[in-house]
Amino acid sequence: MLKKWTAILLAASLGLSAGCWDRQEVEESFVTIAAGVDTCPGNKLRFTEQIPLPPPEAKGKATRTEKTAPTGPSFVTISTVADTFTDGARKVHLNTPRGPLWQHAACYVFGENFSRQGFAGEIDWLQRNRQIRKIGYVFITRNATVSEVLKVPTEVERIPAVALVSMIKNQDTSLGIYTPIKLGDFLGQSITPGIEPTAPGVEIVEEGGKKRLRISGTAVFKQAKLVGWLNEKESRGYRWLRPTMIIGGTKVIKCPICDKPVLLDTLRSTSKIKAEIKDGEIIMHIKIREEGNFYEQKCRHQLVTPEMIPILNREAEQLIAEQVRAAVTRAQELDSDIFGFGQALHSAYPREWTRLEEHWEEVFPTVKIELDVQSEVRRSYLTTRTLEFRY
Amino acid sequence: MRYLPPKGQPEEPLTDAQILTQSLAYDLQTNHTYLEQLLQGCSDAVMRKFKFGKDRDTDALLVYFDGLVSKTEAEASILYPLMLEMDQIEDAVETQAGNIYENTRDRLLAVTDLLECDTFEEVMQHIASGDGVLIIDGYNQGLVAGIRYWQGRPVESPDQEVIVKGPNEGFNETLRINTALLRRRLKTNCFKIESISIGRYTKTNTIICYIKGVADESLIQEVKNRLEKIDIDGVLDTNYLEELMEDHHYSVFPQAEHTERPDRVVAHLLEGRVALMVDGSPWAMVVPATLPQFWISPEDYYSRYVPASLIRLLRQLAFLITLLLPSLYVATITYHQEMIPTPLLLTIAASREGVPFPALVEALMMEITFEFLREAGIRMPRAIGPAISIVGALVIGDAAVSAGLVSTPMVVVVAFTGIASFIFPAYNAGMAIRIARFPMLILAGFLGYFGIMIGLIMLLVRLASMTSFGVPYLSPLAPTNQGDLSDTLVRRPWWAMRQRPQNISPDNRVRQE
Repeated sequence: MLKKWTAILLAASLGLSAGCWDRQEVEESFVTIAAGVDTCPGNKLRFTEQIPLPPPEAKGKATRTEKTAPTGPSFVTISTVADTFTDGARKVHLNTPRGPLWQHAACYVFGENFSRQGFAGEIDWLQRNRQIRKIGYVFITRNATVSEVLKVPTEVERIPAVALVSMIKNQDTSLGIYTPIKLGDFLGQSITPGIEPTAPGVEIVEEGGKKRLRISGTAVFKQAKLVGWLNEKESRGYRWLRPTMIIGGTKVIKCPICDKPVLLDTLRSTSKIKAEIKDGEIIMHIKIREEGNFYEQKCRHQLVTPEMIPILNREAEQLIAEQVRAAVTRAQELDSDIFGFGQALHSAYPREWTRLEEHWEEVFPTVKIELDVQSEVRRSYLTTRTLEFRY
Repeated sequence: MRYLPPKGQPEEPLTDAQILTQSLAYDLQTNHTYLEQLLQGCSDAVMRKFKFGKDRDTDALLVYFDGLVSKTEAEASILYPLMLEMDQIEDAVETQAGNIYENTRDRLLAVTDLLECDTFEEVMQHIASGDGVLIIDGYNQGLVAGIRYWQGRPVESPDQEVIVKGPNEGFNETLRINTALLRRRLKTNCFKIESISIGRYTKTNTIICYIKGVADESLIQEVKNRLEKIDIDGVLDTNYLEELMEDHHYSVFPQAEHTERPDRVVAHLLEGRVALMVDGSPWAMVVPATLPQFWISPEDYYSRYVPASLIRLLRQLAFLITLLLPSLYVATITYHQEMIPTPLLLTIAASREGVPFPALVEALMMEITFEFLREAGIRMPRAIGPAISIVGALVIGDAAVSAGLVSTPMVVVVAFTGIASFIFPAYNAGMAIRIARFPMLILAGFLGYFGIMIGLIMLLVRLASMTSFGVPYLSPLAPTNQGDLSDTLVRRPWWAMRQRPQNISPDNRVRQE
């Protein structure tokens, strides 16, 4: 009997002897909502992180009658100078009393200078740290340092990092210029042969003495180094070639009759890249199937008719082709295979790829593309005819 | 030479136990003396001695307990015929001349229930059950007249199992009324009510009800065997029987269903179960019981099957919430902060600011407080009920948060768990889950989701290995029986309910042709 109870007691205490190993109470932690690194003179890194402060009304002291607009800062930004990423992140403890919760990091911001020097060997920790989830979005600062960017308050959203993520996601579905990328994909594409990552840029604009954040440009990487930027048109072209389905976006074409702008939106679009080697030339067959709606017109012409729609479709196809060509040209100039042409070649010609992989850098700028774009206007929302003002 | 007491000492008085084993004597005086000895100190015992017969020369003794018999009936059907009417009947002379005992038994006593008894023990048993016993001088047998009548509750609607629609009669403390409630719903001779007396002192009348041909014979036999093995001084409620008969004595989970609704008992009997009732308790105990049975309310079968099915799903959700919500909350905010959306995490962090205890201690504190409130709510006199509600709601809820002892989300979690725990139709199953959530909470507090998983697996293994009168406790979930499953998680429509559950009634399964 005694033996039995001793055994039960020992077994029970075994469960407890681990002693809440990973326990971390939320009120003894802070949430790292954004983190980033930038260069610092003296071959050091400047680590910066943004920590949101709890909304004042959540503290349970304010009653309903004293509810006022949240005052005071909604976040703090802490910067440290250190040798490595981890070192920087831990030096935060020198002036912050609590431990970090990395799981909620919504975005990772890398400085432009830091990126130009190359991040290979600098962000090992992001891969290794168990707490870091690779679903935060990656941004590259443009004409600014990370600590400057992470200090800019945003107005609609209390926490700038959350605002940045919302901005990149919302522009993707409503406007369709820049392609959001998550940390996991970013790191994956950096180390995969035959594809290079991009990341949206973020810059600071001043309007009436107030600083605002704006997403601007797509940073193109090559061998983990920032080599250049895509402009808006090229970014749109890059977006059409995204391997996953695209939902949302706009296309501005010209009215076939009067050349005034006509706006079509995109419902969904898929693309497929198929490599072919023909007479020693590498050709990428790019197939894009796009569907959209007629959204806006400036002229009075009757455009949503069975006769006009095919013409609009051709216009849209031309626009898409033009944007894709611009993007490919720019990428070839920068010599960075952001579209994954190498991967397409690898899957179609595995044997040739082993030979080409060594000097893909030289081959990539010579790759030809052949476009097969089909775009279709499906419907025109509430009206088919525009209002006919007499003007 | 030492002094020895003389052998065969005269007339050492018999002890009570010795008297009980004796047969009644022919001599009424002896009987009277013995009865007086037995009933010494029983102030409610009445021994009415009277004379009747041809020349008023026959002595008789009527014994009963005051309060258990109908005095009107005792007068009208025993005393009146014997003392007055005897002379008026036509063949009075013959009657009085012959065997007066037989004549009294066969012609004079105008009661419906009439038995005979031989020993003092039988006399005691009968008068304690509320019968009157008539002993006539010169005969060594007593006549037992069934003139039971006592004050009891009328048939009321059940307090504990409330339903909106459907029959609303409940059992009460009188066994005979309860059997009548059952018999009225099962008008067949196949419905058997077997009786057995349990308890050395209480001699509680216990009945075993089943439908012959529907209930498994081996199940009936097993129930009887287990009942016969019970040796206890008293039985006041069916729970005594459950604990003495169940398969697993150390489990917190109930292995019998207790109900105070005759309709529910009949529904179970029709599925092939066996019901047990004891005199003096309005609760019937139905075996075998399985865990899925506890989220079934009789109302499910009285309302349309779609709403009934949805509500049954709701109860299953409540089952999980009661068991897991506090542990999930504690595990999430101490170990798995990535599971909470960022804005909520910030709010929780803010509201926990200044709370001096770890989340586990906070949760245990609040859960125990809630159990205090609930227990107080049940036990307190009704007049101070509102006071407890006010103290509970204001002091524990609001003031504890304002004082910074607990955080607001914890109050929400505990309140929600509390509400969910009230959903179970079966009170005893709700209790089991309420108990099980505390070990879960501790595991969650020490090991996070990993601990919850360990707890769940241990619980599941335990439940799956249990049986109730040979029926697997998790059936028909495990072992899975697809046919029965459709009336477990959801409620099968009546037109599709063609068969009885296989796990309970394996032989006679046809409900509808």
